[in-house]
Amino acid sequence: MTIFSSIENLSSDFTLLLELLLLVVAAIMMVIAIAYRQKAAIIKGALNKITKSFQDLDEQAKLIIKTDLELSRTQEELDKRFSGLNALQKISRLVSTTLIENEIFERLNQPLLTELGFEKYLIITWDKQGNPFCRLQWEFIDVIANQILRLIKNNSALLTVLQKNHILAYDETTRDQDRIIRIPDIKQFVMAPILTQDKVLGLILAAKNSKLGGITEADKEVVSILADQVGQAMRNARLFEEVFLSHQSLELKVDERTRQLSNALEDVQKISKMKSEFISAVSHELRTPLTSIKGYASILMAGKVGKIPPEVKDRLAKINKHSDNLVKMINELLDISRIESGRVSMRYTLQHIQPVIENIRDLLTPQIKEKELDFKVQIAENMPPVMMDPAQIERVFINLVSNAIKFTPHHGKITIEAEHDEQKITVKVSDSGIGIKSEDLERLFDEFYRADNLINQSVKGTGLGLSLAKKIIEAHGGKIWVTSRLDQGTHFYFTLPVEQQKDPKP
Amino acid sequence: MPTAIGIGFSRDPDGLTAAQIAVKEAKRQIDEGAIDIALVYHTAHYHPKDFLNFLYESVDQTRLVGSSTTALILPHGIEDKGIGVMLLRSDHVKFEVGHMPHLHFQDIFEAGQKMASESITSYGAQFRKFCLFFVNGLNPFIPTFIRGLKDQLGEAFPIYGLGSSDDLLFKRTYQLYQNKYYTDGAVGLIIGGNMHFAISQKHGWKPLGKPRIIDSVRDNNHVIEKIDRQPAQNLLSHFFGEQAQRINDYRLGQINVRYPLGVTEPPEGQYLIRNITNTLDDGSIVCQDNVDAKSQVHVMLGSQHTCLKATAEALGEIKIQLAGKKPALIFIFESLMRYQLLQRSRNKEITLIKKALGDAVPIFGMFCTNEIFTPRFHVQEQAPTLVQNGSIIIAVIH
Repeated sequence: MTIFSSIENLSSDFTLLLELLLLVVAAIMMVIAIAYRQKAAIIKGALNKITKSFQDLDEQAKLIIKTDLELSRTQEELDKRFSGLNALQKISRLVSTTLIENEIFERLNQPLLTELGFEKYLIITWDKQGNPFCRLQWEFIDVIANQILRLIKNNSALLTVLQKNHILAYDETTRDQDRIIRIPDIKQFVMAPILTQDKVLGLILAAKNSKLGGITEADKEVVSILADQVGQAMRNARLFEEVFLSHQSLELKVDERTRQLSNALEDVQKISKMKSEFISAVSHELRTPLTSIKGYASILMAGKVGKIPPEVKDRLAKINKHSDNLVKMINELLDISRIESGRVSMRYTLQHIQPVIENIRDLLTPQIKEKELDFKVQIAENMPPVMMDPAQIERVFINLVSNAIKFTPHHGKITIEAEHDEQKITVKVSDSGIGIKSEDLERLFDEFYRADNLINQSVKGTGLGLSLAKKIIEAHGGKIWVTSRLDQGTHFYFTLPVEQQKDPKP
Repeated sequence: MPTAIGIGFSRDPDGLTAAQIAVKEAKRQIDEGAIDIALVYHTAHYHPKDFLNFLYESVDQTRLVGSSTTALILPHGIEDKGIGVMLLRSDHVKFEVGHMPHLHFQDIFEAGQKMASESITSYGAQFRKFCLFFVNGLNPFIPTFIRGLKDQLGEAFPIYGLGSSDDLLFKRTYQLYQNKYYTDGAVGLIIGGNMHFAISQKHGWKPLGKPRIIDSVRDNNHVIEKIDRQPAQNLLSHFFGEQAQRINDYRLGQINVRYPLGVTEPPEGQYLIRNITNTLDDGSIVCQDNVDAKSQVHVMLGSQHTCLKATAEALGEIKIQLAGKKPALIFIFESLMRYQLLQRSRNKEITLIKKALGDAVPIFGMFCTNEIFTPRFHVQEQAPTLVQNGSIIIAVIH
């Protein structure tokens, strides 16, 4: 019994113990469960945080990429523009310093072009027949270049677009249907027109080998500026060419005209020589019978062949007088002719002008007094001597002063002035006479020309005096000219060169 | 006899004339003596048939390797057009060359093995320092080719290389070997002997946004199908909106250049940069080089500043490796993405390099589609050789 009771007690204790143990385990389990739950919640929270952080990280990465893409694009564009403009500046210097069209393209034909961001270039212009041809071919093989020429020639739409100064820019993203021109093996290119004000001179095709990057605004801008530079250089070269050709043509015309004038001058000189020879011959032939006429008239007047009535004598005197005039005229003509043909050798001596003028004063004093003229001579001091034939220069003075006396009314004024500079002496013969019409001035030194005025109508003259004076002065290496105003007098000028002093020979 | 290096360059439009001018100048710089190796870079403006025979004869049929490129990196700056020739003569540096034409007709792994064994066989028993090779940058199987190379050269052997580039049309590249040229080939050289080199690679791209996981890839790991259980292109739409549609129009254009993908892979969690070359109708993204599924992926951001900063970091590492020794020659292999991104700052980079390593040290570099690099600190172990985009490799021989 006791054993059973003990066993029962033990069993009851064990059950209790077991129950207690279970309770403790349950309690622990509950605690663990609570702790685990709490930890799980913490882990879950942490995981959520990590997931959120990753999401944030991705969002930040997206933002970074977006910003970076924009920045890098801007940077690339800036880089392109910078290096492009730098290269364009160098190109500008190259092409703007030549005025020969071919040289523009020769100068461009170098690696500098690739600094603009393109690897291949074609510069095409149109010839006079309107056919495109390559002026520059950089990295394009002949087959492709010729193919492009054919494509351009047959593409009117392209020409229309270029005419409007539109720039074509195609890259990998351009759809085929949007392309006005398709170039074999070249997907990325810019085509810009080379324009003058009113027409397309040509075009620049700049292409990229690789598919990288596409065509940007900077690329278009760079090619457009290059086309402008080439266009400007071409315009300058063509303008220069035009001016040059026109200058050449003008020179040819001038040469031709000069040749014609030279021929004409030769003809004139020949004719003048013939005229002089003719005058000389005729004058000689005339002088002989004139001498006879004058001789016979003198014999008759002297009554050596019988007494002649006064009326006849009077007529004979007129024959004599006119014969004298004729002889004078013939002599002057002979002098002119000799001077022109160089047959007169001047007897030059180094002499002052003053004694010549004094001789003239003496010679013409009776006529001056007759008209009661105020005759003055004003000679500058230290007049240098000049090489002259005094007899011939005296003839010039006689002509000029006689004319002055002839065309100056009574109580008028005649002045001879002389001055000098290092090269020449200048003599001025002035009068206060009737003056000369301007239309007469030009022809005053022509042979046989006589100004149209009342005095000339009443007083006979040969019209050879001034012409002879001109020939004499020119034979001395000087010049003669006249200024005059009607009713206010006339001024005749002539110069004689001063002999330059030469160093004595050692 | 010390090492003599001559670098000639010409941008004459005629290929033969350009080669004549370049080789004449390079020869002049090494006093017309014997030549141990000729390295030739040319831009897409020239076809190798116009000048390669002449060059090969001009260098007395010595070892000649080369590549087409978008632009050359020379001491005086970047040249977008031209032919560059580097001639080297040395008693203590040893070279041997190998080649593998027509990669697309071959088992690409075996092609790598063959090229490596050709080079090693000719090279002989001297101590090898590293392998440098040029491969068609448009070939999608470069990692497999590298595996083939490493199979022969050893897993720890440092391999550096670059993908030949063209005029950014991504149509045809050339690899030059002696008087032959290939459009889908590989040419390489083993360099060793009594010489040392310092090398570093940096890219300068920074991750943007939250990390995502690449779920699935195909076509030799070049095509990413899904990211975060969504079509891969959603990643691009998320960040670029409508502009993402234009990636196909502008290969290596704005978005591709500035925002490649960064894939986190060992070692040390650095980002492998992957240039996006295409998007497909099924929503997937095509990358320049391979990516692995389950990798973490970011959209990356770069700028001229970060690019130049990366160059400065690379130069810093090189100076540490040089430990005061004087550089004799600088090789630069730089990504086209950086070429596009740096734009007018490209010459600043040259200035930076010259300032750090010396004004008078010859520089001979080029821009490439992909850069292949083995980190130096792994050289003694299992060294992963990685194909990178968007980076710069600076190698200095001293």
